[in-house]
Amino acid sequence: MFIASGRVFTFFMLILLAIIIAYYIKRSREGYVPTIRPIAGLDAIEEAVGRATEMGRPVHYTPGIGALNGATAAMTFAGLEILSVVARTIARYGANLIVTIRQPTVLPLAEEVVKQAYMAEGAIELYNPDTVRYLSQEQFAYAAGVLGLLHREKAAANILLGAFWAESLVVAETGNSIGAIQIAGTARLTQIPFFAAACDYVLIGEELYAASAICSKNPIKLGSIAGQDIGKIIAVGLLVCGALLETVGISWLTQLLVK
Amino acid sequence: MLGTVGTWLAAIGTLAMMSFAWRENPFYRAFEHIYIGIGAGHATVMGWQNIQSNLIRPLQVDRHFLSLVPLVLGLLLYTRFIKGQAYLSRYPIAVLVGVGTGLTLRGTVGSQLVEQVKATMIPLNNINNIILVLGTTATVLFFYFTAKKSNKAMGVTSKIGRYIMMIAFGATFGNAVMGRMSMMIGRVTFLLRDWLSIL
Repeated sequence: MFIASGRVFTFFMLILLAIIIAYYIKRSREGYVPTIRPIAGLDAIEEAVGRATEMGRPVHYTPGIGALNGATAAMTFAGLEILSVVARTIARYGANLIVTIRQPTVLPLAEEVVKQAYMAEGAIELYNPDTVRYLSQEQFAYAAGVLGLLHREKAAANILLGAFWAESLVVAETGNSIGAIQIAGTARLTQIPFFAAACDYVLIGEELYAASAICSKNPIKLGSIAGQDIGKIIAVGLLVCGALLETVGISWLTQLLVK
Repeated sequence: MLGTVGTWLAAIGTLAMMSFAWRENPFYRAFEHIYIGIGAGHATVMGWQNIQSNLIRPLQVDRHFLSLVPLVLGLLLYTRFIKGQAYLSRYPIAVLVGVGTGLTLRGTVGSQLVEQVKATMIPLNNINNIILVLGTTATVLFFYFTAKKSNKAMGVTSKIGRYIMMIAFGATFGNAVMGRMSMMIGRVTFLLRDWLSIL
């Protein structure tokens, strides 16, 4: 067999999911764009920027500390996609934005995203090259920099959307202590509890990707979300059938997954 | 002597960082900048060592000329500073993202879908297993984004999923607090034993 033993089911599952997602992307391109349920954290962005404008204080944004490759790349890209919406809202309101970056490779993308957002709003004269700031590649040096910055600049809103590790609680707690309205989201399950405890709005897990698709209004991304939903239904169907069959002593479905 | 200097520096740095718990202050600010500076220095050294081990040595010793490909890609990143040529910096980023995504995809379906489903296919013969299967189902359905608002069954299921996640988050939070306390104890032990020699 040309597929390694133990990976046959995974391989066919991957192919099936790819076909389903491709089909929904095609449908979406043809105009059948799926409607995605509202995400509270995303709706709160306007409120956060409005509050910062009224208070005359900046909005701090970070697309996380993940790189552009590896398992967390999707979160970083989702963070950058939503940054575009935040920057456009800020350009419209004339508020101040501070974006902090940990990964050097993310810096040019974040700069480009913010600049394009200001251009799209016809407010390029408001764009400040110091908006996007690279702090440090060292995780806790970056965190220390963000803490100091939040306090000194007295940010009115703190938006954390991307991949986060142990610094998540430190940053979110500092935002909370200065009274900033906080919107956070990550697909790293171990960090969501900290955001849930310290932030006003939390995008849990995949909500981050859905929010990114909503922000982009890109039919490919929206179609992909619809395709993934079918994947979830398949997964639920498999696990419920498998559990019921196991209960009556039939284990062929479980064995199928091991192949 | 060097060990003593190191201990003193580490102790002062620890106190500076801890002083943030009181408020943002010049002591913290000084060490924040020192920390960021050291981070930049460390990254530069590590970067140079990477170039030596992944480019210079393979080229000089092994005559491994394929190492020139990442060199060219790396240099292309700097074209964003050249007016009119900035578009070239997108190619190395595209390679980085493409390779990274491909490698990630290889393990994702197996570890995050098939293995999870397999682990939940358990007989519903005790309350623990029933909670596990129902909880997993409800949580997965919470992330069903294209459901219509009028679908009440989906609404109820996703609400149950949300509550189950909150319980899980609470447990994770408690666990992490214990971990952080242990780190705090480690730091205080360092200050009292290694620095002040009280313990």
